[in-house]
Amino acid sequence: MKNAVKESGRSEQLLLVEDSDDHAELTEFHITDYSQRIRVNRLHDGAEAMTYLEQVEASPQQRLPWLVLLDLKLPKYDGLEILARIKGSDRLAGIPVVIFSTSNSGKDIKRALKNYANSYIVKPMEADRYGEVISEILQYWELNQHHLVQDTGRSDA
Amino acid sequence: MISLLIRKVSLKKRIYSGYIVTGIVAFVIALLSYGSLSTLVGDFHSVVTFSRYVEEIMSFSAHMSEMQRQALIYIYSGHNAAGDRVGEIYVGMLEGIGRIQSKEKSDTIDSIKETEKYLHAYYNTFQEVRTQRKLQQRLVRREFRKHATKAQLLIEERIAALQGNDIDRTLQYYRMLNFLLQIEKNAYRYFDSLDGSFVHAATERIQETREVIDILSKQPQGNQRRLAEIASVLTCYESSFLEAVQRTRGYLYLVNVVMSAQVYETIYQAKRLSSMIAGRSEYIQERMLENITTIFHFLLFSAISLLLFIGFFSFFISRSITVPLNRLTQTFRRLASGSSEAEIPEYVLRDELGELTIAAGSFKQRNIALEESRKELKRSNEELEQFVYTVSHDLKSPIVTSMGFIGIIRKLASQGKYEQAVAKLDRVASANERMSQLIRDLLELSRVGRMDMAKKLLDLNKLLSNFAESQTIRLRSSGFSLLIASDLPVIYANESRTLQVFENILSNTLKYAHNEEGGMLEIHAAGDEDWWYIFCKDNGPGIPLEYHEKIFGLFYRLMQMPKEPASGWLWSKRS
Amino acid sequence: MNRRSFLKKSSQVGAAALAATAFPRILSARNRKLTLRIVGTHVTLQEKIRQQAEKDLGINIEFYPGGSAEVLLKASTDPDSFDLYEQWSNSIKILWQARTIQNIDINRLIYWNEISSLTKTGRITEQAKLGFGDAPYKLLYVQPDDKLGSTKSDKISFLPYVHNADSFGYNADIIEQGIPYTTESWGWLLDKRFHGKVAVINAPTIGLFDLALAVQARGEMTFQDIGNMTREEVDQLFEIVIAKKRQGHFRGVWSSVAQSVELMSSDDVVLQSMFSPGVSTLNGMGIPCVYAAPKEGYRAWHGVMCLSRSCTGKRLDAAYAFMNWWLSGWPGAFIARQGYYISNPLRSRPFMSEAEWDYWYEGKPATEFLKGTDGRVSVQPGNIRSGGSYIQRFENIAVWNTVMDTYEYTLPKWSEFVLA
Repeated sequence: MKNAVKESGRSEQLLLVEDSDDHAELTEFHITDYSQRIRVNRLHDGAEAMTYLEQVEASPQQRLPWLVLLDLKLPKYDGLEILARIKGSDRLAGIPVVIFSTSNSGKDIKRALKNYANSYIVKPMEADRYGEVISEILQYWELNQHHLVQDTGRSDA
Repeated sequence: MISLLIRKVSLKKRIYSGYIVTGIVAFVIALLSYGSLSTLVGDFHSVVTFSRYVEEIMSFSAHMSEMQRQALIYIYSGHNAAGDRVGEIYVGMLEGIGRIQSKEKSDTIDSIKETEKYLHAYYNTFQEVRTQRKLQQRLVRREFRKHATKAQLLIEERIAALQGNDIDRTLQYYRMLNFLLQIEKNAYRYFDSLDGSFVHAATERIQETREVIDILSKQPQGNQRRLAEIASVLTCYESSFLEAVQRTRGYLYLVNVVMSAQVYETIYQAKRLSSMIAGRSEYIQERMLENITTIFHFLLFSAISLLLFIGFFSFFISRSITVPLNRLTQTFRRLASGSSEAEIPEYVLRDELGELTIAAGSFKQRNIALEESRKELKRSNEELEQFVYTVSHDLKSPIVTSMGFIGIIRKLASQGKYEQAVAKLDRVASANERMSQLIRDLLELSRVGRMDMAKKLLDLNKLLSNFAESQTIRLRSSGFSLLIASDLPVIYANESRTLQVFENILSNTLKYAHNEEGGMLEIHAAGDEDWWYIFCKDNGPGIPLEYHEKIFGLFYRLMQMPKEPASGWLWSKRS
Repeated sequence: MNRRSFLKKSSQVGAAALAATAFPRILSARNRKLTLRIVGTHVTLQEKIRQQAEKDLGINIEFYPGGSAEVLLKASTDPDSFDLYEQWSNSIKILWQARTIQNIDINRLIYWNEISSLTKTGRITEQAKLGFGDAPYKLLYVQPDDKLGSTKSDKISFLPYVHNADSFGYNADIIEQGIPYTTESWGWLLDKRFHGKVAVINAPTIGLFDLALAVQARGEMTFQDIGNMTREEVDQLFEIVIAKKRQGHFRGVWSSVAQSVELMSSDDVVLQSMFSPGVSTLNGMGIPCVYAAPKEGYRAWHGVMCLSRSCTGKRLDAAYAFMNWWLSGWPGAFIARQGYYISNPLRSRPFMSEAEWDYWYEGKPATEFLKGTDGRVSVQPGNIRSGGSYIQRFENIAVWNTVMDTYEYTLPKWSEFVLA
């Protein structure tokens, strides 16, 4: 199966935690460009993300986001705190989290991986590369079957 | 004791006092030894002198005996040399007594005087003996002989005159001659044997001679004149004999009774004297022995106790040096390892150790300063790192944005959506604008970092009243009021930076603290022992408690607000 | 009337009587400054006696005191050097033999009849012992053959006057007091208990008899005639005592009363031959010297006053006056205070207090403090003169001081003893 999202025909939710409106627009543009079925849920800062995650966690019926694109530098709670929140929760831990940040500092990368980030991708500074990166991320995670864990959990319930 | 030494006596004095005490102790020991030994030496001299005296005095006995022996030789044999020898021995003994007398002490002087007295008496008696003996000799050898010869001649003359005519008378005269012979014989026997019976016999014969003379003189034909002459010679003869006998008895008495007793007493006194001196010598010897023992014990005791004293004293002295020195060494070791917590031992005196202590104090101060500067450096490194991180993020972010939009623009353009593409150009521009603004801010920041850091005493009341005045227009336009307390302190700080702190705070307030009733910033101060705290309070929404630490991070902001440098926060912490 | 004033008064009366009646010629003699020279010993030649005599007799008197031997030698060889000679009866033989003294006419002696029988017959009472040796009565009378004997005559060789009975003294602090005539014995002189603390008088004519009496008392030897020992007896005696002396039994000999006092007061000696003044002096010093009354009897001596052969004329008159003065009372009383007796005691009695007479002559306990001639108290009340009364003492004479025939022989022996 080449593309889980495309083939299932289902609309998948992608959680985009990004304080910069410009970067959010860029990301959303390329996601939309990649597939219409991926619905982008953008959150503006750490506090918003926390609120959303708690709400998702508390409602078992609600579908979990398929993928989280998480910026690190966020007002109020930073990306690592959000990451820890996700990976520290039984219900949320299975959601693949891709850190998508401008920082290429080893310290940030290490900390993210330590907190069980599933990927760490640096935002590209080349003109055409942004779209390719988004496309490749999405392609890669479409190959992954993490959502099955979430479904199993849900079907069990 | 140690603490007292450390507190009161400087190091040099402690060391010197150690030397001095040791010196004094050695001197005292030497002095005590000398004193004791000089007594001993004195005693020893006394003993030697005494034994010399005893020898001398004991020789008196021998001399006395020899004198008496010589005297007896003289008496019984008539050797003049022996008599002279008595005198020589006497002179020798007097000299000996003089020698002792000149040096002796009072308790024996009586005995010596007694001895001398007897010696004098003895010699005087001997002189008398010599006189008596000479007289006796003169009587015996001259007078006695003379009278005997005269009597004999007179009688023989009478016999010759009779010419054998009157047998009876001649016989009587012959009887007289015979008597005379017997008198003489008895006399000489007496002088030879000293037997009193011969004197008796001689006087008997004299008496008989007298009787013969009486008989003859009663005869009518007797020559009365001649007989009277014979009788008179006989009387002289008798008296010279008797005198000689008495002189003999006299000197015999003197030699045997008087002189013997004097010799005995002299010898006795000499013995007593020598035993007295010997006793004293013995006493001194005993005392010497006792003294030697006592001195030995005393010196041993004093040496040991003084050495112990020196030992304790030097122990205390050295402890008084080593104890603070060890403490200092510990301190320096810790200081050398960079510790700024090392305890500086208490040491009040300004001696070498005091200097070292002070040095340790400065060392510690340097360590504290070093520590602080190291912390400062670390913090500034961290800040720099964060700054660089932040800056790189903040710089990257517009690049990502602009490059991203350029990519979209290209894509839209390649899809022929030119209008959409052109519309996105604004986004690129605004991203680049933001970047250029960031670069300007960075330049401004670097300018601030290079500012003059000179500190001086600042009266915050004065500073802030000037500040408020300069901000009047700005405050009025934004509807803010600034309330400044009137009891602000005078602090030691850099004026321009301090001023900037308040400018930034005011800017932040004007930017974030909006209130419908009109904004307000209040500034007041409070202090404890070490610090002044300057409080700035606005009536804006405030910062939630959980973010209080975070706000001191560089470029941190809580709200999605237009990007603004937040350097004001930085300074507010520093102040 | 106390004793002192009584004495003074009595002596004044006596002196006045003498001056007025007996010696009218002497008064003129004083004017011509006649001087009487008297040779003798310290026993009688005392300054107080001389002064009293000068005062009473009105003549100048010179005393030439000296040691016994010294004065004897002087008297026996130089009759011109003295007028009167005062010594002991044991010098009479020598002097008489030396012919340096002249006989004394008893008719010129005022108190001759008062002289006690002790001197005249040898016995003070009928039952008295005669005593060995030269008892004075044997030497008193000048016999027709010009020898001395006991047959009475008008001429005598000496004036009998001072005499005493001597013995030994001992320190009662150290030696337990004995019973007179019973336990007290001459033998004590050689008693081992007193080893090293015994002394005898240094005179062969006196000390020899002390030793002889001691040896005899201890039964170590006997004498045929202790008053005239044979050479063999002398040898034997000295053998014993020299051996004793060599063992250190004797401290030594003493040659003067002062020395005897010194020996006992210094504790050198606890028992020794003593003279009466020595005993008095020691008692005065507080030393309880007991004058023993030996059961063997006393060794007696008799003072003699002799006329020099050269004394004649006015000098002879003065000499007789002095002799009479001596028996006139005061001198006898004076010497009684030293423990000596006088040959006519009753003449002296008025010059003594009752207490003095009772103590010194009667042998009764002293009823008051009695002073010696030196003015110091020598007798405490209650004291009794050892040996009892004059009579009792002189009834017990063992021997008289004597110059024996073996005199010269004893001298070197004595020397040997002294130096042993």
